[in-house]
Amino acid sequence: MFIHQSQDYNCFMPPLPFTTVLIANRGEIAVRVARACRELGLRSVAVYSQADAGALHTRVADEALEIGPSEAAQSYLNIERILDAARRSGAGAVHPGYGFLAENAEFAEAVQAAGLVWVGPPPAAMRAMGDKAGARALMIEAGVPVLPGHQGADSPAALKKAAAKIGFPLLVKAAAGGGGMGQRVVHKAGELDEAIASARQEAKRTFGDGRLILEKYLPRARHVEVQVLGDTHGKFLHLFERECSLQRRRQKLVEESPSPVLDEGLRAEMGTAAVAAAAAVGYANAGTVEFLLDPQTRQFHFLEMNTRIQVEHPVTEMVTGLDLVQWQLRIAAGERLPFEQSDLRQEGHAIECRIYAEDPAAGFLPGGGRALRLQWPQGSGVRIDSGIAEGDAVASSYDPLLAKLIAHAPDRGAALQRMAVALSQTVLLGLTHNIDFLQDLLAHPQVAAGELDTGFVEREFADWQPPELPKAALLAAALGELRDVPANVEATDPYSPWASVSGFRMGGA
Amino acid sequence: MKFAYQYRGQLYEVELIPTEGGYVASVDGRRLGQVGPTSLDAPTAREGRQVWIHAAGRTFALQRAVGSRSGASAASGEQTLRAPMPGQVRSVFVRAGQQVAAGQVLLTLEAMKMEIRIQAPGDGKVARLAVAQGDSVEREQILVELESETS
Repeated sequence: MFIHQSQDYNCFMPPLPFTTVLIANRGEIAVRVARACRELGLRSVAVYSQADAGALHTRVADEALEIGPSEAAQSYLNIERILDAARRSGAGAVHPGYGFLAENAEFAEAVQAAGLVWVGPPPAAMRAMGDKAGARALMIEAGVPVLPGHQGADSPAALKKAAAKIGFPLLVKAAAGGGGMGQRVVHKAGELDEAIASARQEAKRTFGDGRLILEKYLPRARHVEVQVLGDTHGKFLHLFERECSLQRRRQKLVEESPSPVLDEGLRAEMGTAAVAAAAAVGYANAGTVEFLLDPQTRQFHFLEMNTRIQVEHPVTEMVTGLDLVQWQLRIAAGERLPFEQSDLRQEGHAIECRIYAEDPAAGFLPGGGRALRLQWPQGSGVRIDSGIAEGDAVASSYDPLLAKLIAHAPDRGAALQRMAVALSQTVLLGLTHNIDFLQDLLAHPQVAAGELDTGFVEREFADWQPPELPKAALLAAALGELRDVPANVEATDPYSPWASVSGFRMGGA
Repeated sequence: MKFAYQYRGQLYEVELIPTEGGYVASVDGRRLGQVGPTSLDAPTAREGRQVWIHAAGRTFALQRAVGSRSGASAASGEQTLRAPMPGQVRSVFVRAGQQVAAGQVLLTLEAMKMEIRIQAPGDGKVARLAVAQGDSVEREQILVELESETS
């Protein structure tokens, strides 16, 4: 059965124990959470830094409160200011989105201590999964497969001894880490000392914790993760997998569900392992268990658990028909999951492309600008989760994710086709973005064939350049300049083409 | 009317000659034929000297080349070439006073790991060289001033 929750479950919904939700985030996820609140009849409160005054997420919420200057440490990462905004707005719950404070157990505890509902997992579960060394040990205990590796004693001598046993290449990883910080690939024994020293230094600086672990490195592995959902009454379900192997700089670019490589057997096995991982830490609410899958051996290994909503959650929503953010709120309110594992299935195929304000021809360097023109694609099976609207300035102080484009179709080929058309019909002028890059990436025969791995983008697209300039674009530029005098051309500019066009406006303009 | 644009370090010149109901268009001196004022349904946007176009499903960011219109309108005979983006001067190929030909590469910039060639928009003489190899430049900073031959 494909879950149409609006028909099947919403009408029996008991009243929620809170009526106002503070969204402790910005950008597209804050907009997304505000929409879920509205659909559930809840009031939403946005917070914003001075750099985000007037941003889309402040406009779609019912109320918006400023919480400080643009530096995240003084606004979106400032627990006191966010709790103060919650008090001032009369919020009864806090949704953290992803990033910023979303995986900060102290924040979750502070929210609960203030008498507010935390829309997320129990802080103890966040803490258990946040520590990579402890999580590895817990997963081994719970029977969840992990990569060959080492955690615990981490003196250089102990790590060297363990490394010899694991073999090369291997990864040196920060125990407190995440997001690739404090992480080094070591190809041979001679590189180990330097890698340990530099990873420890980076880990200390970034996480205030220099502990390290080792893991075998799989160079051509696929990143396949499983969405889990648990209520506060002990029921755990998985919502199948997402394939996220197309990455650059260890950050995801394109995600899809189902994964093109899983068969029913492996899917069920990974789903069961993910549920076991969540149960092992007393999890509740939405979470994601990330695995590395070796395409040769078809063995999968626990990587980490993300104790929050993921950027790529829409592909799961499209194939399961469940609204994950609504379920986060309903679970936080104490509701029981009214469906069983056997009620869930993946319907069709969904792909998400992340639209970033970055330059794929220059090392994916992020940038800012203004969305002078913005036109999203339309049509059946096309979804946009955007943090910007036309005319908005894009601050370069935060994550460069602008929006997500999601295509849903009966099968993978049709979804790729739908995405290609949607990307080509997306008009975003005024800042550097990766839409052309995404089109070329999805057109690669290996992507079409579903042969992906986490190093693919950097291997195949390192020298990517923007497309050749067609004559039509040049003519359009020139004709565009004739069509209307732009307001921002100074009349005194002697080199402006308008210097010679005044009193000479062309007919039909 | 002539318009000059830079894209990926290349200079392009577009000429639109008004005719009945439209224009005769040429690119880099090659006549392409007649276009109507709205015959190309391509969204565009401008900010400062930057022009963005969405055409054939792709996005193109062009720089309007400053003062590069040649011919009758270049009354002052002076042309100023500016840095299209912040970067570093990698090489300088000309000296002050040197005669240059249209399209000649005067210097190259390295910006965001790209090499950008700054080319002479027309025949002329280098009136002033405002930068040297290794200099860091801001966006819009003056690089070279040219004296046009045809003034």
